[in-house]
Amino acid sequence: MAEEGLRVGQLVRSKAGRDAGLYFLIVGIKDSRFVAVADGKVRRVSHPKLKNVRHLEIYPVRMESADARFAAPSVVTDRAIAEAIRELLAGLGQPT
Amino acid sequence: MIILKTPEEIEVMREAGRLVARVLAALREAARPGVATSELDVLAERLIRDAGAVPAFKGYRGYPATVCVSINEQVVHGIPAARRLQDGDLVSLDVGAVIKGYYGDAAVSFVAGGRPTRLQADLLDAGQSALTVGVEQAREGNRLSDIGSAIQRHAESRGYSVVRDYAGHGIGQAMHEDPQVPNYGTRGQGPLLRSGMVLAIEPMVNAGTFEVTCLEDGWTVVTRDGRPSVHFEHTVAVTEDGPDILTLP
Repeated sequence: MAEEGLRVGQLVRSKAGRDAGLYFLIVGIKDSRFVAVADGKVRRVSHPKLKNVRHLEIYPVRMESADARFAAPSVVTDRAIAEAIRELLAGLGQPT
Repeated sequence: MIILKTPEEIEVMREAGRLVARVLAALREAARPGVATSELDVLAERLIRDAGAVPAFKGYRGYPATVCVSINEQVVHGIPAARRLQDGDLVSLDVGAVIKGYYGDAAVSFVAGGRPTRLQADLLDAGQSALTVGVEQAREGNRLSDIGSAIQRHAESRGYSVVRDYAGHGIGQAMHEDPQVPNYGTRGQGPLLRSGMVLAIEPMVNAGTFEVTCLEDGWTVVTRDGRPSVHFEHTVAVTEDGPDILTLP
């Protein structure tokens, strides 16, 4: 059974816009074209950036327990998002 | 986090995979014109439970059935119902089973009844061979994106497209584990593949646009242009000896 290609907690990298090159987590899915992203630093989870998925490089890894954590949005802090991005990048062997 | 499996765990997953392959073969035999897709679902559940296993999809995030039956422009996750197969329908069947807590997951596409049209035959061949080239990349030392890249290049070289909104996945004691296994991408990206990783590789190949949309039932995914789609899937272990397909009869 196929998995949805875009999920909350998934690691992405911006390919276009002022934030090009920065890593984010998907914190909300508007539809199949637009997702909300935050990195806990320049983009806080309280004010996520709406990005066209065509302008994102999608990585095949997600924040641990993302479904449960995002089911209660107030639980996901900016610190947790920034930390998750660091850990996911380390797991991929990518420089942060 | 990518969970590596021991050789013993992989053997249990092979049991689940073998059952899934047998169920798919039986369903394919039964999927004749006039048969309701709900009848295929009943058959699948009986075969799985008779083998002492549990249907993997039933109840998964609320999915109501044992199999997914996706017809013609339906890409994946078609819910079995009273709809009866017609001669010439392009049918995709997706089945999962759990044995001793470990999952097996596979899918196959074919034409019900008579001879496929030229487009159906070519699309089926492109989908099946896209899976083959993807599986071939599931080797130690490769990067994850080598799989999707090979699948995409193959499907597009045949004039078709690969679905991006849905992907393959790691599999083990859960149906969907890390990593996600997209059917597109650039070579050399993502995690290094290591012995003990088990991946469900599942290209969804569309005759027309790669764009899909989900119907109001919340599950059935259809092509946006209404053109046909095929879906082939194997559960594959990365081993020191190369890719090991667990979903064979």
